[in-house]
Amino acid sequence: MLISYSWLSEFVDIPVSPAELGDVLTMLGLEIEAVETFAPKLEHVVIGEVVECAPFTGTDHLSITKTNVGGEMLSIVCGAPNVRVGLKTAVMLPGSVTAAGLQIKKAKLRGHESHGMLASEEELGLAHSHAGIMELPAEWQVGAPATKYLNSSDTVYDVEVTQNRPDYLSHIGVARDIAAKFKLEWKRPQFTLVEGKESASEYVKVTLDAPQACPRYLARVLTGVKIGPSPFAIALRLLRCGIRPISNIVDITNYVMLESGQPLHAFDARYIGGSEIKVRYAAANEKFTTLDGKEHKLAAHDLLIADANHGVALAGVMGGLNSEIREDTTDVVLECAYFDPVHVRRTAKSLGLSTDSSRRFERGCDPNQVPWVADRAIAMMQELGGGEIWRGSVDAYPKPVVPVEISFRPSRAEQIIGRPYEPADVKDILTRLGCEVQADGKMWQVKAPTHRPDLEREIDLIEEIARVDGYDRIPTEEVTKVVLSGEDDPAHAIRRQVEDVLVNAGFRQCLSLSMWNPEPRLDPPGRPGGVLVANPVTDEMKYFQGSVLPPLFRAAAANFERGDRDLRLFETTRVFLEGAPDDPRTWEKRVVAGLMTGRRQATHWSSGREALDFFDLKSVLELLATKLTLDNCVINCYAIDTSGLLTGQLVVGGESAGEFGIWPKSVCGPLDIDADVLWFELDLTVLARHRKSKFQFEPLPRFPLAWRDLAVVVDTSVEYSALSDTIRNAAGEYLTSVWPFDVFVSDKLGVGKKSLAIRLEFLHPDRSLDASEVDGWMNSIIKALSERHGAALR
Amino acid sequence: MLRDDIASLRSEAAAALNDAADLAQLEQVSIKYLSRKGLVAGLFKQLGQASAEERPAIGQLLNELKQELEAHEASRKEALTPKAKGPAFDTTLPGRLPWIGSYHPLTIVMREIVDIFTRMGFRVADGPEIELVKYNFDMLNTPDWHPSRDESDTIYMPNGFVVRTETSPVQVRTMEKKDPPVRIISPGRVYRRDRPDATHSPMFHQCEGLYVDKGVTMAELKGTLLFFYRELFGHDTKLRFRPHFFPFTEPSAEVDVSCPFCHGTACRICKHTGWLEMGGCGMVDPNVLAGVGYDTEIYTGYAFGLGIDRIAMLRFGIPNIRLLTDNDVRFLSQFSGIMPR
Repeated sequence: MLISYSWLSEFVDIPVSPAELGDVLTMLGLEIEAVETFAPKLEHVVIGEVVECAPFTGTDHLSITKTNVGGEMLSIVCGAPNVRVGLKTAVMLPGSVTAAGLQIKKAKLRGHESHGMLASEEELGLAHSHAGIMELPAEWQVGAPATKYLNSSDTVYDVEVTQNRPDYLSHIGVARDIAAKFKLEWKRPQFTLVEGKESASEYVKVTLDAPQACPRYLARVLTGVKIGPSPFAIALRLLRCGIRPISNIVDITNYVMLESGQPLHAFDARYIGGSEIKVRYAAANEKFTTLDGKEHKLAAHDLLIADANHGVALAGVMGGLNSEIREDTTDVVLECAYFDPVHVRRTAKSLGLSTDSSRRFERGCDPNQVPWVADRAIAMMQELGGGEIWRGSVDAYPKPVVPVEISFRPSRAEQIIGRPYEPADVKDILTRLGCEVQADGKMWQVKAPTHRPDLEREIDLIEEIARVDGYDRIPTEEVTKVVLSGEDDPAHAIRRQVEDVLVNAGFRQCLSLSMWNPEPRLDPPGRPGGVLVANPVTDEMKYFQGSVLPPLFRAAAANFERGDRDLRLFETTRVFLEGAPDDPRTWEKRVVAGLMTGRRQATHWSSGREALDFFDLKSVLELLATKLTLDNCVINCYAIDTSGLLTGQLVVGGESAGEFGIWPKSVCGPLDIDADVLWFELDLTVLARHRKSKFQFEPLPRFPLAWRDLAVVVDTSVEYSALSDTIRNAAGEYLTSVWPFDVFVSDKLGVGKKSLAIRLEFLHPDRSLDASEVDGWMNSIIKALSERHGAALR
Repeated sequence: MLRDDIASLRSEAAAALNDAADLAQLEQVSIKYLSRKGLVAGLFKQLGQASAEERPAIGQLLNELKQELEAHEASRKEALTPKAKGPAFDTTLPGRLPWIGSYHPLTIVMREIVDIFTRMGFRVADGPEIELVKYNFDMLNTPDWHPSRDESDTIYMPNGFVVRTETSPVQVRTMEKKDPPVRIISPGRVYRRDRPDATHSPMFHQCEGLYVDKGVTMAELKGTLLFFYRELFGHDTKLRFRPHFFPFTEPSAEVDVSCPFCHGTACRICKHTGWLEMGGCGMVDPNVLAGVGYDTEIYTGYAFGLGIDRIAMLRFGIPNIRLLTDNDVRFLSQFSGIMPR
């Protein structure tokens, strides 16, 4: 909404400068998006009249004019489409300067001498306009300095109006709040209504078929009017507020709308068939052409203004092409109505027509302002275009809207805002906003004005008091209370800790869009797609991810492409899967996922260049198990296939906590990563469920531990875990630690054999161990290993 | 007399050692006095001429002379040897670092924000990203016609679930389960149906807060947010509440903070206004409180929200929101040295 400082000044004596008013509006709740000051530069600008106008041969859009600037005929080249003989316009003589800073000089244009420039509003700094050169009133004196007529400065604020404030879409509405803020009076514009003898009800009949959609419809009639351009001051105001002037009658509907917030529509009475206006729903698929020339197919919920035969306007949205004001219009039926916001919103949205009118009705206009606005508009129309106003109005308003009555406790404002307000101030603010206040005792009765449909409850009034008094006057109360209640979400802590562990292990934390579209050309195999979105943002975002590994994989490929090939990436996020139809909480899992590729050790001049392998992946899982104190954590590997593809499952406390694996180079190569990729994706909620909750210090051993190293040769098919199980079972209760410290395979050991060297530690809590008893346990262990696994001592 | 010879050789050799100006001269001196055919050795050969009684004493004297001169020579040698330029290995080569990890900038900012609020006794609450319309809109007092419900603005699932557009549904879920006092923040991802560009992403991050209790006021909300933004942006930060409209709160305000870059004097980042818009806040609408069964005569509350992505972008000077989700290690590695406070 564009708001003019000078226009506001007609209703209230603004006690501050235009710059200061911007801050006032901001603090009243009007967000200022832009401020523009119009200060026309009129030196060496005069009023001129085009007396000759011929196309400039050899150019496609230029004309050569002879322009009378009072006592002198100037030859001026002009490129505007509207230049024509008889046009009065502003002439920038050599020496003048445009708003954009361009110096006007006598100049040769394609060989033709031009002695100045015919100017648009834009060039003079009067307003923004792209419609060509100015069209000035015929009665203005040729040769007069432009300052005589055009010296009009203003400041225009582009403000964003919140959904709840229809009244702010008008100058009067804004002026009312400014007056309340400064405790000033504001005044409505004054006019004199001169009516004829004949009653408007004899001219036109109004029927409301759908009073819920159109609670009020008022028509006024003006006959014998002469259509012509609006006076310059009105046209300029409209231009500055973003509306193109068209003709006096149409301009008045817009002018009064910007003034009052009430949309108006003027019909050419010739095209109101049967002298009857019927407000009815459209028939399904009824066709209607709006005045922008577009044909619409209507639905049964669209409200139409119709005559005896067909629609003439789309109620509250746009007029019809068939009944618009034309140059030869003489009789006008003026519509001033109140349409239900829900209906207007639905029609505007379904037809994709958002207009100055629909935007106001959608928020809720004031049904009780209708007669005043109609009088104001019809009086102005007569003032500008002459003619006779038929007596009275035809006003269909079966169920008048009554002001909402609100019980209000002044003391409640303090309880909400946190500071006392003087009852006298409270009453003053509410009254200035248009409320009727019965201020008796502790419980007041307040009637909210119908121009403020947002005021329905006590709390709404409290907001008004705080707002008009000033949010800047709300004190800042120091935080002294700390409420010790409730608990943090359990996922919060583990997420942080997992992030810490992985960052410390050299992983970089990533952040991926949760929405994606699977693409076999880009994505690693075997990850769930996720859940389908009904209205995806783009085709690339059709699913909420079932796994975060594909996005991480794609990111890895992009980094790989750029030459970053040693990657350790992870993300903590959510993945999605279809769950219970009534509980979205079952549709998602919180996960941590990571992938690694490239070298085992960070780049260093001394280090080897070994590629990562399974044990690097396993170490990350073991690190997480250690740092998160996971209970009973088992890393279950499925068989590796010959290509090196591996998948496994992390089982914690008997519950699956997610998967890990290796996508070998043969899989990743075609997906643009020429290396093995190691990955894991774990369910944070499951991990959180199986953490050892209590930690207690254990006393240090009082006696020395005894250790033995054992080297055995077994078949390569014998797994270390089987050996260590056997050792633990055979060793008795004082074995405290088993740890493999060397593994190698060699033909020297025999074909298909490997050697494992294992360190065993024994400890007795209450005494030193005897070498002979440890040897005894060792013999049992060796025997068991031999029997169970065919292990031979080396 | 041998004794005299020893004494004179001692002073002569010491002087010669001292006079040697470089290692070559020292070598000459050393040969002259200390070599196998040198003058000291010569004196040893004369030892046989000494009487049997004197021989042990003179022998000892000679040994002492030899040791003394050798020590003197060694010390002169060290003094004359050019000083080594350093140890034999090159200490300027880089050290052996492990892989370096990094937190995502959003995590860094998010943790900081969460930590400031937890210092003020807020608890962290969480809820699903795919939500019931009931929690995302209805119980937040969003009117049926409100544009935020439109399919053009908000992402829906085929079964009618909505993808949360703010983290406020968490507040409703929390209030449903628990009686006041409720003092929570809900950080997390939210979604809008915005096409991605330099400043918009369909996915972004918010932290919303809620406090419902007896006697909670807007003045306290102001104090809470002032403390928060001062912790976040510095202790000279100023706060401005501007009237606004949100269905969820009444009265409602937009929160501006004085621009932490120019300290309110106007710069490009604050578009020369001196203020940065941070998010909305207000007193929880009685309809919301009544909707979860709270007695609005006994309890009042405030709520606020702020966008994390924008704060992260401001804090680190990140010009394009897409950098946050591109996972480009050239970007991520720049945060290796930034740890959450």
